[in-house]
Order: sequence, then structure tokens, then C-alpha cells
Amino acid sequence: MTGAREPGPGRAVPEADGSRTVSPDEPALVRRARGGDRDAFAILVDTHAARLHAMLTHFCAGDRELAGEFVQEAFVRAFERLDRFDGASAFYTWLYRLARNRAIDLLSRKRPAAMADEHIALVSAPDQHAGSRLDAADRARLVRWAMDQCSPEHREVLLLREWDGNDYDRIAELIGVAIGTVKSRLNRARAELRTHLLTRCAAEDLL
Amino acid sequence: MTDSADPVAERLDRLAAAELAALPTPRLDAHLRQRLLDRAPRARQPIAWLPLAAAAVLAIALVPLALDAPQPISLAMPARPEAPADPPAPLAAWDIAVSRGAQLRVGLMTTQATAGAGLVVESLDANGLVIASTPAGDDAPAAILAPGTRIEVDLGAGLRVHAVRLRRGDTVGQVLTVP
Repeated sequence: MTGAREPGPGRAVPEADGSRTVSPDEPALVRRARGGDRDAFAILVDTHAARLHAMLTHFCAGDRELAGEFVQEAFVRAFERLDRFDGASAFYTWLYRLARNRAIDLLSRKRPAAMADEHIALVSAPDQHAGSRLDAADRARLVRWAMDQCSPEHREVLLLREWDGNDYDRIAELIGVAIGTVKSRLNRARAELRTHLLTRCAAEDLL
Repeated sequence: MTDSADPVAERLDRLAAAELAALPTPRLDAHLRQRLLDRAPRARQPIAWLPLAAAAVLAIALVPLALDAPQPISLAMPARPEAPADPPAPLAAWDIAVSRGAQLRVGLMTTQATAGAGLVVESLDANGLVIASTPAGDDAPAAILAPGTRIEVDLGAGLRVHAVRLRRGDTVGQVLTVP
């Protein structure tokens, strides 16, 4: 059981090997970019930057500027070390690891200063929904708020699984841990998310 | 969805999963895209291996020469010693005067600037053979004697001396008979 599931709205269809390799010629593209081919570099940016930026934006509680800094830093570091890229893993995996290591390191010490406006509004009046069933928009905001309260590691696996649509193997590859660790971390992440949800709203108002 | 047997927890997990899956995937900002493209690696300049190898071989070949050479290597011709302002005058340029008294003396006077080094007075017997060679000039090789310089050479008793002449190296002056 690798947790295979349908891809979500922000996801590309995984390759047969579970990787996100967009083109079988990706190693060739990387070699061209390494040699100074700006067109090849642009293709790599257009292929991977939007997905990485969106993932990191959700990971950073909606802070697009901070996510953009992580993306930029990841690309710069990736191309500084292109000689070490052997094509054994997808280029996105490499990029993602560079970005997430930096992001987790920072977010473990400091929460994002800028939260999305709707998050701030919800947190400032958490009890306004007590005793009444939430509509869809409020429910979505509450889940996003609860996500942002989770630890960075838990937030990451939840996003990789539920938003990015990866199976357990792929998540293990992206974050560099064993599949068993992915499963146990996901269980703990869901438990933490539930805890945060229920601090703001009764279960019957959510369901 | 969850390892918990709690049906409420399972429903909450499904709800959360659906909400997370519905999170948007915003397009990449044009500004961020441009910033990324601006950081594209530059084309590497091809390395000119042939000139590099030639320079390396030449450098390796010159190292032992430089180590063995007692002086720095120079392709320039060695500088010639500073030449006198005027070339040494021929021996005939000397005015010679001989006087015989208690001592036989030879008086020399330069008529032009000349070198005094190596100048000797040879004493000749009646057969024209050299019986003595007496230094006359200064041994300083670069010394240039100004015109009018006088040199007095004492030849002693000089009883057998029949004639004298000047000599500098292989150059022999005219013979002057002693009165």
C-alpha cells in the first residue's frame, strides 16, 4: 500500500515510477542549462517554479513573498551545484529538498510574520462560529487556519499528501525519510490538525 | 484515512483532506519568474587548452634554467665597459727627454690625453737588446692622463744603457739614443 490516490487540482499526473519527471529529456535540459543555455533554464523554471512556489506558499501560511525567497534560493543553489545532479532523481525532487530544508529550518524557529488576511480575521474572532454550523467558506478558512497552527513537519506531510497528491513512496523520496516514517508522521499530523480544529469549533458544527 | 477507530476523527480527516486538496495553485508571479531567469547560469567560456598546454611546457622547461643560472637570464648583449673619452694616444705622442747625470733619467710628457697604464721604458744596450724594463705609468687601468702630464723615470746608473724606448703591451715606440 503506497497510498496511491487521484491527483488534486494543483497537481501534475505522476510518472509511472512515481516521480514527477516532466520530460524524459530533463537530464539533457539540466546539462544544457549548466552550459549556459538560457532557454533550457527557462524551461526548467516554467516547469517547476510555479508548483514549488504554490507548495511553499501554503507551507508558509500564505506568505507568498517568503515562499518566493525560498524558491529563488533553491534555484540558485541548485544551479550552483548542477555538477552534482546525476539525473537519478527528478529535478523537482532536488529543488524541493533544497527549498524545504531551508524553509523548515526557518519556520521551526519563527512563524511567518505575514499571514493571509482571512486567517487573521478567523483567529481574531475564533468563537463567533460556536454553536452554529459552518458554511463552506468558513470551514475552508478554519481548516487553513488549523493547518497553519501545525508544526512545519506535520504541515509539510499534510500538504504533500492531500494537496500535492503524492503517494507514500514519493513523499518519502521528497523529504528523505522511510515510508514507515511518512505513515506515522501523517497520522500524528492529522491528529494535530484535528486538535486545532476542535479548539475553535465543535465537531458537529464542522461535519 | 486514519488509524483511529473514532468515526468522528475519520470524518474530520476526510473533511480536512478535501479542504486541503481544494487549496489553489496560484500561477507563478511574473516578477518572481523574471528574478529566477535573471539568475540563469552564464555560458562558460571554452578553455583554450592548446595555448595553456604550451605555456605550461615552456614554464616547466625554463624552471631548471632559472635555477642553474648564476645570474638572471637576459637576452640583451652585455654592456661594454665604459670607453675613455679619448682613445689612448700612440706612444709617439709622448715627448721623451733623457738626461744623464749621476742618474740616468727619462722625462715623459703627454701631448694629449692618454692612458698611463702599462707604459714601460725599456733600456737597450749597444747591441739593441733590452737589458731592463722600468714601469713608467700608473697601473690604474682607467686612469687618463691629461695633456701636459709629466712622468719622471729613474733608470739608476744606467752605465750599459745605450738607448731607451717606450713600450705598452705589444706596441713599441721609437728608439731614443742616450746622449
